[in-house]
Amino acid sequence: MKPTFSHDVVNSFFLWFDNFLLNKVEAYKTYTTKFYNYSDDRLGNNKIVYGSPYKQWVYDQNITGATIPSGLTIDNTFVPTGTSGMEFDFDNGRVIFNSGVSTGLDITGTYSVKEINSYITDQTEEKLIIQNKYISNSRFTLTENYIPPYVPSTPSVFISMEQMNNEPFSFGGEDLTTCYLKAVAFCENLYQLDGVLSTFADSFNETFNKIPMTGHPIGEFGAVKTGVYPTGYNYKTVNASNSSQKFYIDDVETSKIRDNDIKELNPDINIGFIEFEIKTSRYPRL
Amino acid sequence: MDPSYKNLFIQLEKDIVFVKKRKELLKNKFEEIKKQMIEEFNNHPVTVEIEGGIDSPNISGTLNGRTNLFSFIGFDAGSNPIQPIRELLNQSLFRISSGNSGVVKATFDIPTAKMIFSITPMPWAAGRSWARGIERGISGLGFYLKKNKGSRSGLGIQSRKQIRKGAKFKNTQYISALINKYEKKFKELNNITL
Repeated sequence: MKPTFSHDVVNSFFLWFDNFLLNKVEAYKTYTTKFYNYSDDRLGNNKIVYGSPYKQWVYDQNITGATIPSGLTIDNTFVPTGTSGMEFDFDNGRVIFNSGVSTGLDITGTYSVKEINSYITDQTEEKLIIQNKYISNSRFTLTENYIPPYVPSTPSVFISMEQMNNEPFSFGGEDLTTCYLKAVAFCENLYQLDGVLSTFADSFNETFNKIPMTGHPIGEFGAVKTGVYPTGYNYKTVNASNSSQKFYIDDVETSKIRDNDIKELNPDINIGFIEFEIKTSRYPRL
Repeated sequence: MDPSYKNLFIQLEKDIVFVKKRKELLKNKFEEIKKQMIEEFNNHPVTVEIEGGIDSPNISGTLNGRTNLFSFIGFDAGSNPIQPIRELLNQSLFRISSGNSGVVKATFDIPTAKMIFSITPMPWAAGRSWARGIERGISGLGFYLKKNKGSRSGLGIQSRKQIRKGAKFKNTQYISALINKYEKKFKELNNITL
């Protein structure tokens, strides 16, 4: 199935959301840590994996001050990406090598990590909040180790498309398309939650361009797609070069679960919601 | 405007009998539509169901009959979440203003959907409107929170317990449609013949 308009909306919104949060409030931290070897059967081809203690590294070059690694220090020597198939899995916070690489390497590296991880989801609110299991992006753990891959980690934001509708806009078949997107934020404390909610409450009337699914920067193994972005991914540049369709944020509503209610669920987490009404005019039948 | 018409209108504004009659007529029409609006709101299945409280059947059909809106949204027993909306609708009013130009303006102040959403907070989430949720969708979170309030028996973020199956919310038209409909009706008052 070819990507449809709604796929592109979610993709464009997700990339804008990430960039907006990272840029507006510098929601990232830079660490220098060790990397720990573990095996991952999902990768196949006997790939060798070393994981960092944090997942969802920053890969957007538009984020001023963030460190996007170009290699790692292996046994006291800097080794650039590409060596022995070395590539970064930004989503899972790890480095992947071709088979045959030793599992006993001493690896360290510097990278920036999102303070609030972001995910696209189709799960319902109650499922996200009540049933799902998350791991903490271990910023406060005493014993450092790799963070397990694939499982979503908190603090995080889950983005989903709730609804979309078209209404006549002008002669010639042009419609006004309204998309309702929702973000559920899981934060470590009230300060962080209020920061996220306030940042996006101020995104009213912001605009962003439609970036097709093919323009999503992350590939199969969590690395930046070098075929699409040979010199790296920069949201500002990519957004500017996809100017055929513009979205604007017509309304934003933020809310949070009351303290005494959420404490019943989990005293260590603060949950809030950001509901976006996004509009664009288009010709859906052409 | 032609000066002769302008003069006529200015003279009419000085005619107390005319002005009084016009106001009375407009008031009657306005109150009639306002009454219809409140009645339609009162008789809306969502309103009736929520006012029915914790034991009400799911007459709105929004929850496949599995529970009712009052419980699903998570309102406190004994609370009346409908009353603030009714009060706001009741506050709808009209006024007539005239100037030296001879043009008379009737203004109808009825609440907007946004105003209603701002006075209908979810019982468990500040800033979120249950009335808007009726139109756009409501999660079962309120139902769950209410059910487990006061319990710390292992139900939490990592709970393996399933939330009640079948109680999936189906959106329905409510406040926005009502306000849009009556906004049009009030606007039509501009066309009445005195």
